[in-house]
Amino acid sequence: MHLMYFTEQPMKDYPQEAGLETGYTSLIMSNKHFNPVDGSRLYNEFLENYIYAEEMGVDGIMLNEHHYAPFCMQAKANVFASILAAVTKRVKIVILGNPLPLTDNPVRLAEELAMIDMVSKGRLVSGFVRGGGQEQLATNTNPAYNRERFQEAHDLIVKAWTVPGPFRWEGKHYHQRVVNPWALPLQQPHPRIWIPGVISAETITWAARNGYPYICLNTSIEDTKKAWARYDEAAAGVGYTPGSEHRGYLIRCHVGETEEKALETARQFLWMDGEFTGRLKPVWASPSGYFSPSLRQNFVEFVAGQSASPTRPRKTFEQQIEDMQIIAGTPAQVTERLRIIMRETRPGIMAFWGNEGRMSQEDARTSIRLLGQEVMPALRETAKELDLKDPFEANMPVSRAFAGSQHAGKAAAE
Amino acid sequence: MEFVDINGRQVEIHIAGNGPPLVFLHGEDFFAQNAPFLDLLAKSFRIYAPRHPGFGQTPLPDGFRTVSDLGYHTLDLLERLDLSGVTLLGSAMGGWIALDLCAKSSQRVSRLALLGSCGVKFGGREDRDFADIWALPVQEVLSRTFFNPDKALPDYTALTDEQALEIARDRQSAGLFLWKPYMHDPALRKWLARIRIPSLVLWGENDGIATPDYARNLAAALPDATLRLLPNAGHYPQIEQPGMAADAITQFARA
Repeated sequence: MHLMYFTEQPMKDYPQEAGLETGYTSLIMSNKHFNPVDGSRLYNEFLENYIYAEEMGVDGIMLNEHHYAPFCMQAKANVFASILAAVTKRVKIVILGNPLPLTDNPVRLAEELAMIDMVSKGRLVSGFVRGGGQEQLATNTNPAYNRERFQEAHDLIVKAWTVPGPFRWEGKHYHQRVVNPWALPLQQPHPRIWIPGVISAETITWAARNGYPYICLNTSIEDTKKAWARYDEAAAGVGYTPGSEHRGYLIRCHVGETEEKALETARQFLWMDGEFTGRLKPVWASPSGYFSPSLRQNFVEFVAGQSASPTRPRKTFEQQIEDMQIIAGTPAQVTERLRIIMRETRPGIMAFWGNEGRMSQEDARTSIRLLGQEVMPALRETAKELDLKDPFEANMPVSRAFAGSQHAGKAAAE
Repeated sequence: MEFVDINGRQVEIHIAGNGPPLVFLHGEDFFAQNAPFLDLLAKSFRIYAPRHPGFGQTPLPDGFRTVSDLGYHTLDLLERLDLSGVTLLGSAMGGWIALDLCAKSSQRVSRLALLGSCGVKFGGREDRDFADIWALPVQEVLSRTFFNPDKALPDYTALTDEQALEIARDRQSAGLFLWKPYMHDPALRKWLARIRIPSLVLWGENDGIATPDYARNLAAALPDATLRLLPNAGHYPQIEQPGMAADAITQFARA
């Protein structure tokens, strides 16, 4: 069982009233409300917490990126991944993930990731994402080409990592006259690729066909099971049966000394949902072309006010606690609830989204400590009972394309 | 040489001979070496050999960035000269311009001849359709360009400053238009079906920049094309075999 710590890196110290006034705390809320003095302090707090999480026993640090929004201060996951490569010793550095379509040069990305893998002595997990709808607007990447660019960039990066250069690439979206990076990943045949997501059927199917673990991002137990059913079906279609090592799950999880305190602090998870200021316009989440027409139909109905949010139905805090999309309580309470999720959905990878909104640094660290010292050891026992293995324990190949290659790398650096 | 004005754009153009109109669109380099071929054609045609924007002494107007711009510009030139029933020749990069122009409108063109043309990609994303003149060693580029480089190449030490500057401008502008995507427009292939006029794909057997296999693909992709290979010739068959090339063009134009 691979257990990770995650935070969106919220830029919590902007004037709350500014968000209320604009109505949307992303894309167009002016960055005049971003104070770099606060930003500098927050980055360093996040960094302290990552290091603390390693000390408390997590197996991995999960990183991500977003653009033009206070809910996530990471504009480039590879920057924090680089820092962690140097300042941590043991944890996997799990980028979930680099938004491939937003790049105009996938080979640069392949180089950066190879550097991170070498500096970290083979601890990189290199996830890839399509980037949210809003990211397409923030970087002005045509969303209609999102999936084509995702796949072409993926193919080019994997080739750059695994096929000796120089070679040439004249694709639909990327044109490289020479691909020959003098920075290659330490891990062989290449770092593991995990694919996180929320709803996209195409992405789940694509991940399954490639044999990449798929990480459900805080979906309900019911939706998580649907995702696995889809994954299993696609895997069966290409001739294999997935196990727990193909399944990951991210859950908002706050642990406190008392139930009362934990529940109070966990309300901050709604900060990102826009409970306090509003978050984003639906049209930003689904710019034309970003979703397939069938999914887009839901958005048309949603924008017209005819249905609930198609991606993340707005639920009350109590409802989310009830549905176990937010877990909060004492170590014993949290352990009990997480065990239900483990039994129900059988993931080999779990990520704990532990710091959000205006949680104090003290509360964030208390949660990391209790998670690491009390909850995680108990979950590891449960994982043994349920035989939940992560990709490392299962020693699974990095992909179906490299099914015959033994994954190796870390030993080579030591 | 003379200059014509197209909507404020000055174009250097060589006009000679008498007969039906023939427009020659030059390639990315070796412009001066086309003279014997053009002299032969001038015996049977009224020839027009413009320098592309950014090449020779023709200024590069603001906003010229793609071969599609050169296609529209050359259509303008045909209108400005009021030519019709044109035999249009395109060599190397000039072939790309000719294809682009004819896909847009072949109203003033009756026949199209392509000599070592580029512009269309037939291979997959990991295939190289055209040898990379900016990445390969100079000697290899030359041996791929010419059947006999020693004979075809000018004596660069004997050039005047003005001649050397023109070659430098040619090479600079070739980079501007051909760099990326390399020597092709990904959108052009699907419009080749619009080029319904008789076409001649005239290729050097020893072309190592765009091989005879490429020529076969190009001929097959055009609605009404004939392929003809010339021996002992590379990427610029009209430079290495001016007599055979001029005969082939004359036959084609009269057929």
